[in-house]
Amino acid sequence: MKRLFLLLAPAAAFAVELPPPANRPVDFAGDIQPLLESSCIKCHAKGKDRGGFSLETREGFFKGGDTGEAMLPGNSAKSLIVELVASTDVETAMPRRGKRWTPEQIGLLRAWIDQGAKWPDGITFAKPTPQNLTPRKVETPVGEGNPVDRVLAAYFAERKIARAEPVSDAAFARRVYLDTIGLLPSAEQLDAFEKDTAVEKRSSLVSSLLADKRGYADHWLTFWNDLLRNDYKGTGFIDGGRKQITGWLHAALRENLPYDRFVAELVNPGYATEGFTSGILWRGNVNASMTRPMQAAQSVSQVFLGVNLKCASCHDSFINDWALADCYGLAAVYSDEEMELVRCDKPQGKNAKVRFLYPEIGSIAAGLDRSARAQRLAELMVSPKNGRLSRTVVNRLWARLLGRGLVEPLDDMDKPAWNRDLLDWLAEDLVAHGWDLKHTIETILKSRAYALPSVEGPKDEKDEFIFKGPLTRRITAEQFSDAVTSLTGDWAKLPSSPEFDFGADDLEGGLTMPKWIWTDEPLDLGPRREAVHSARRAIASATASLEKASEQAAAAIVGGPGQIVAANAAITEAGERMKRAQEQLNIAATVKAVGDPGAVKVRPSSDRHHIVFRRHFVLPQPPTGAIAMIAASQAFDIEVNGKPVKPALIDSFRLGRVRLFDIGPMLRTGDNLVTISVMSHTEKGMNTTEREQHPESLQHLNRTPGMAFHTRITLAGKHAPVQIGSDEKWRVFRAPDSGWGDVKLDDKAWPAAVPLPDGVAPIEEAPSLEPIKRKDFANIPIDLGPILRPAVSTAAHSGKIRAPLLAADPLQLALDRPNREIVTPARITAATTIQALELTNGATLDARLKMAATKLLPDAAKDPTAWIAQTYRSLLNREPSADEKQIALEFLSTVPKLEALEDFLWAIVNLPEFQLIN
Amino acid sequence: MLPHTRRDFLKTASAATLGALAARSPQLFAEPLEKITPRADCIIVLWMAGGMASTETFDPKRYTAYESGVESKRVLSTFPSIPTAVDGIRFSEGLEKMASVMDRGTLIRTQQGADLGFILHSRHQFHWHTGYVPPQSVAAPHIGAFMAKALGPRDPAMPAFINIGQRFDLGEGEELKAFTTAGFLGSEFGPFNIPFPHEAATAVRPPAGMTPGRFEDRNKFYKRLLEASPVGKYGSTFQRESFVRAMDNAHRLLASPSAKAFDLSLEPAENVAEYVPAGFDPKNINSAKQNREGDYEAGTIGRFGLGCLLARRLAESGARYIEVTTEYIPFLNWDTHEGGHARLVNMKKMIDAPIAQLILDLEARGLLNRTLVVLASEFSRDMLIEGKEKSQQREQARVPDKIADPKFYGMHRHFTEAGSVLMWGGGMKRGHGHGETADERPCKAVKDAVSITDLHATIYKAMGVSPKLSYLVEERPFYTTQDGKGVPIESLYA
Repeated sequence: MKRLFLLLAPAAAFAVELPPPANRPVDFAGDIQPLLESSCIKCHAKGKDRGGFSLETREGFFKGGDTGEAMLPGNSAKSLIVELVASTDVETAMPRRGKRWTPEQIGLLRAWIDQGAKWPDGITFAKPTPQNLTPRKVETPVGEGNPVDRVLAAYFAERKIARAEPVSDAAFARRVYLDTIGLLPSAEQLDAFEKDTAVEKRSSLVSSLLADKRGYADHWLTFWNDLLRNDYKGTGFIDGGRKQITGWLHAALRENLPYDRFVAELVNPGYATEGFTSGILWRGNVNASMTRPMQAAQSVSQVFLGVNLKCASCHDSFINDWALADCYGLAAVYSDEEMELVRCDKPQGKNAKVRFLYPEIGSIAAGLDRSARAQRLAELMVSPKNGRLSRTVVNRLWARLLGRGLVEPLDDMDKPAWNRDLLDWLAEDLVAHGWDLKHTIETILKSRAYALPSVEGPKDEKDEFIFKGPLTRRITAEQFSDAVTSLTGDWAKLPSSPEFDFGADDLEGGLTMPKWIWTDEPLDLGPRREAVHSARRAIASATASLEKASEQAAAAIVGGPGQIVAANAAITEAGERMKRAQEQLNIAATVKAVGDPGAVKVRPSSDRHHIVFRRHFVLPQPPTGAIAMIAASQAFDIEVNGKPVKPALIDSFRLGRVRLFDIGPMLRTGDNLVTISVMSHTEKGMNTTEREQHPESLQHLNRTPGMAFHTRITLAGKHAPVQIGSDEKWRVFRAPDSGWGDVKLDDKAWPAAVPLPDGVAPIEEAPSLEPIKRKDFANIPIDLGPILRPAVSTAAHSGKIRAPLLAADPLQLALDRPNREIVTPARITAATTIQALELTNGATLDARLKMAATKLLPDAAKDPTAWIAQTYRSLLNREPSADEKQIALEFLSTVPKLEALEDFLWAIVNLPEFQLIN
Repeated sequence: MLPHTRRDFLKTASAATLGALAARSPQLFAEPLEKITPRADCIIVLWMAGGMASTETFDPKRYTAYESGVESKRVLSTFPSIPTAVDGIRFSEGLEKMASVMDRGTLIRTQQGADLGFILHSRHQFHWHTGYVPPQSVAAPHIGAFMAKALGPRDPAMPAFINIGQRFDLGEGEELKAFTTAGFLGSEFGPFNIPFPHEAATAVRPPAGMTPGRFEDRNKFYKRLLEASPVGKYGSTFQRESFVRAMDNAHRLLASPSAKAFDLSLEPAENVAEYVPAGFDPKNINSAKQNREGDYEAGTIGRFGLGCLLARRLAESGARYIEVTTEYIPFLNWDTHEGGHARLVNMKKMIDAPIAQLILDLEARGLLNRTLVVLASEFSRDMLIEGKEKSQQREQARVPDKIADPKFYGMHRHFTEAGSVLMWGGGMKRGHGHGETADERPCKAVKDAVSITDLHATIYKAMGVSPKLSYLVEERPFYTTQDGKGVPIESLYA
């Protein structure tokens, strides 16, 4: 019927107007192929079959599409395709986009059909073999030197590009420090490097800087956050629809996780990495092209394969060969349900078939469950047949280090490289070295190509790119910020979230993980609780007797048989008492609440959910610093020595409610007390209407609620740090009387805290208590391992926190630190007025330079000339010229003032020379 | 002649060519566009953030006074209506001054929001400000950034896109940042944010505590160091130039007469009094309690007025796109989830006098003809309907069948099927009403509905920008109006 409509409706209107067939023999390759290429193949070839019609091959062409046969050989007047290209009806005319066919062109098509539609063998419009996909081994030319340079030698020779001399030691050091650990070399480091006479000193510098695991991870976090759109703080969190992978990412960089595993863990994610593929969940209806599985397809393909599926998320792409079905095929890996293809908001009535972008590498079997599909996808991504993964990442590294990719744009790896051998060699070399990214970075940094003087980029992106040296790059917002901080050493104490596992190797005594503790006290008041407490006291007393008897027995061994008998009797008696007390406790604890007269007196709900933990400890020396970490399933307050503490860091993203507190200033030599008061209901934050709507949300407990606490206290002198973690040594009481915060309170009768057995995560909601209805008030699941370990490590490593680990301030935002809602493969290199305004009058830089000037004034005043030279060395990594010295000295005058010093620093950091990497 | 020195280069290279040289700078998508003669050179958007109920403001319906036990379903408007300067157009009580300048403007009653399901303000605000419904796979530019890119600044010293009155460290601040951006166009075209209008002068002044003399000395010293530094020894000229140019631009603004436009203290007291109630202290914003009982709105009347006054000064001094917001703070200002009637009394006090005065001032200065003033909000509100009629969306405010507590008297749900937009000057019709809404619930558009896409097309065309103008991002043409499909509503132009 459809075909009938298509044929009849327009046919009647223009049957008489069909241009005549060309009056000559028509040649497919010469006459028809160009027409099809310019008008048809974007939608009907190269893997795409809009309207079910593909003219990739002669067979496909003859078969036609959903509306029937495309042509009747020998009868062009009755061929659908002729009608469509000649139609004036905008609804049906072809091509849908682009220029209308001229009568002459239609005449050619008609003649070709009338002459039997001859299609020479071997001509297809199938998808071309993808660029940069198959791994290719490149033999490096024999010879001395870095393989990168050996591969490039032919390139330079061919283009008659003279070998420029490498940059100076100082310029090289500046580049390498910034590219490995993200910091400028200090004046001292620069001196040492320049004075070093070793032949291999550049190579040694690269190796030693790359060995700084923390420095490397802190710096490269910026690059990967941009690429993986991590550390994003916008929409999604409101509805719990967004998760960071910061902790995993930093640890992966620190440990230099092999890239194949890195990718596999992101593509087939676990708890710590699922934030990448789960994308952003938006509240409300979301366009079919931006559902979470579709975001996953876009991100995985763009970041790891340099494939842009964004257009193909909505329709067959106009900019590349990817079809809607390709994007859905990849998205289907991550979808729990069948996905119906939607083209430009119109459902297509057919479901996505899971598939990998490159069938030549392998396929994903239908019928696998979601996790098996993700696992299979991860296998295909890191398959030895997949040369795209390695090429994409080495290209990104090359671009990061030399200012422009071997392939540009970085996200379009279907484009050819300006030097195919180099791209392929770097990719193969990465794989051959166990996917060690640091190895590739090291190879590039040690190449002569990297050390060439920097040059200007192409004026026009359309011009052919000729590599003559690294392009001038710009320091990142984070590097700018860290360079300014380096002036004063006033580093941030804590990062923006307690997710960083810096390890414990560098900490004296390592780190002892806290236990998740709670109380086994019953909810009810009355005899039952009394019975439990009485049993506990009996156990405590029996334990003491038993210990005493043991001591007695030990002494008896020396004292002779008479004493042994007495000691034995004492042990037996204490043992009996212990047994009785245990039974007493068991009976008391298992008394049924329902129907038990002792349980009638129920505590007021506001009280029964109030739990207080206490921990006494003694410090032998004055404390010099302590950051405390607390994770709790409920809301809580903390006091140290009777005074409330304010959080120093609240994780903004509900990481199981982890908080860090700076308790250092509140501690003292001798006796100390930490109390933690947990109010385990969730009334807080609800307004009247919500309280009325969700009464069940007022009272709520997790099945296994609890809290974990840890602090590492550094002490004056050479005394080892003291660690206090939550464990059985803590005392706990349910609904205590007031005064529990008093240091002097005797809590001996308080029961000991009960640690949660290993492997039990406090994540489930209690069926016996009213479950929470409002999701955003629910207790957030806590998987203890991945949260506690980093949080404890973050707290124990307070101090010297670098900009990439901090939230963006106005200065960094102005300097183009992105908000990472989308993948940012490269940042903009040109300066803008808005930036300059922030640099010129923004409060952030002003305050920091003021602080720096205050700190540096004594040195500057002592010897202004030397100080100027020193500052040039540490910020621009070179000596000032005589002119510059003179100008600076004039400005600072012989007795520098605070303001002049501040303005001097301002002028230096605003020089293009400071902000660019030459 | 080839430029030989930095100075020559600066003279010959316009901002546009330098911008185009910047790596990955978006290129114009080469498609011939019709040439449009602009009706306006400057635009001021007055943003009623949080969802302004049209039946309580510019499209009043049957009034139902409060009495205990009144049925919610009877209530369409909680204020009586008042006449305006135009026959057939009535406003809601409390907007008398704006009513008196209605003869200078056009009222659209039928702006239709997108149907996005479970309502999140920031998504609808994103839609209104970029023309695209989030999420998008590329960073969509704010309408102000598109204007800045397409038209540039009117006065070269003045930032082209100035955004007044919104803080970003409150609830949903990150969501607001997502569209208060130049997106893929690059931050050169991004907003110059002035969160506190009363502190606007500091935004174009040397840092606190720095005298103008010191500021000049610092800049001179910088220039000397720059001249002395070995420029051009290595590397890229254009990048270096972009830094120097950016600094020059910043310094030019800070030192230019245009900077005075930001300084509200230069405005005669009697003029300020027309925008701001007597005794208003801008610092109230810090002390006003952010609760839903109306303390915040009552305590901050005058803040938006200052923003309007600032907008007028900036328009006079050559700004291109200025936005003044009542400020979006979840559950405050226009975002009334309870106490709507009482709080709207103060919201109207917040906007009525300053907007009317802004129009009169622009007119008196001969600027209204070439300045387009647009008042809009992301959607409207209703007492019963959440989203669209018969939608199954989650209700975000409780509405009893019978109202026994005044806090339930007001428009507390989000309604997307018809909202009011006002436009003055800039070549729009005067004393004109567009579209009709139903007189009974749902008070949706029944005649001449206006999509946000077409509203944008109308605004762009008035400014001389094609609704089909696009720039390439990742080879995809990204248009001023969604997919280039915006169609200007010609009947709105004078």
